[in-house]
Amino acid sequence: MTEPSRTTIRQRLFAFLIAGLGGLAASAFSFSLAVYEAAHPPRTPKAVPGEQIDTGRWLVTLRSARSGTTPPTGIPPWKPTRLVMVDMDVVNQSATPSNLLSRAVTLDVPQAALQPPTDYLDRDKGLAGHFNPGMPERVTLAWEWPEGNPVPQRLNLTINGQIYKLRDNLYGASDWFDADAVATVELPVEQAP
Amino acid sequence: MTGMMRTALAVTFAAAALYALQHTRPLYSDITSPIVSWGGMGEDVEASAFRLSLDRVRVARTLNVETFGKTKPYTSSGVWVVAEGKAEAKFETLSLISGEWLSRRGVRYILTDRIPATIEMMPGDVYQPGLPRPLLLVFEMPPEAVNGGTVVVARSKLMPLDDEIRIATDASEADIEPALTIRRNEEGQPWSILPQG
Repeated sequence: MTEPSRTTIRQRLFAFLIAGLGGLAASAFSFSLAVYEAAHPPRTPKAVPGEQIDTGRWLVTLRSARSGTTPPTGIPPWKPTRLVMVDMDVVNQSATPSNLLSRAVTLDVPQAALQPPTDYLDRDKGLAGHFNPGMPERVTLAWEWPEGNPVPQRLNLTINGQIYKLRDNLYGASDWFDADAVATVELPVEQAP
Repeated sequence: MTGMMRTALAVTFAAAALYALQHTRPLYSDITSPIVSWGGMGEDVEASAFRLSLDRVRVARTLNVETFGKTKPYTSSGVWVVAEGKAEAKFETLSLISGEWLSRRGVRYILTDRIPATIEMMPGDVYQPGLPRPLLLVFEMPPEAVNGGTVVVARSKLMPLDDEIRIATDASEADIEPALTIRRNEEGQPWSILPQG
């Protein structure tokens, strides 16, 4: 009766050892992968103005950038602020409307944290809301530039990708999620009064 | 040896069962999706909290919006779809915030947010029990989404297992008018829709 129970204990110990070593190896691998990825960030391809960029959810074509105090509505505000405006063509290629274009196009500015931009629809000279699927629109994104900071001669913009998940990790619901940047674009800034 | 075989078989079976369950169970969004009442044009469609009917759907290339003596043209890279009908709450006062056009291919188009709020549209209105109220829905979509489209109306997009009314429309890509004018009225019907303003 003693013989089988001893082997069972030995087998169990062996199993614990294997599981522990396996777990240790997995966490060591995952940690070193994270360190490696942090040390070697993926190089984002550069795109030129006028080139159509596919982010997954959007097709974005950056056209030009300018700086001024009159917003795209053409109506100067009573308290003028410096705006940096970027004109682009966008198409929402997903199957649902979206008003989150500003998540796909971000401005790289080292010195100051900018407020999220305002979207203007060129067609209406007014605010843009949702972009319906498959409807190309010309849009201007306007960032308010903080006072005291000069507007640079050239702007660097990052176009961020999105991926569609049929089942997300939290709820198992379908949605679009932020992914790695797909391109960077450098635009000369036209200075207007 | 047979013990190890049996263990391996059990693990494989468990993995297969989990994989199959993961890929065959309904999506979370399906489990919590709204409860749909279906209908056609000109029908009074009943949901548990409200009823809705659509009388007419018109399609145009351009929309002219006339409020307080000013007309502003709204162009589109596709077409405008204007649906008129009636809605009524059944037991308590409610608002109908969510309106969508579901194309035959399953693509969704949201109620336009381009038209000024001086035109009374569905999301801004309050529906009282016993007082049917005219309802206006304006969508913007590519022309190929018009045929066989369905209007989807709900109280909110964020309430799981709430009511939703879906009305299959008779709109056709063949009847696109060059322009429609939506005019705000000061009394009676809150708006008029006129061909080629």
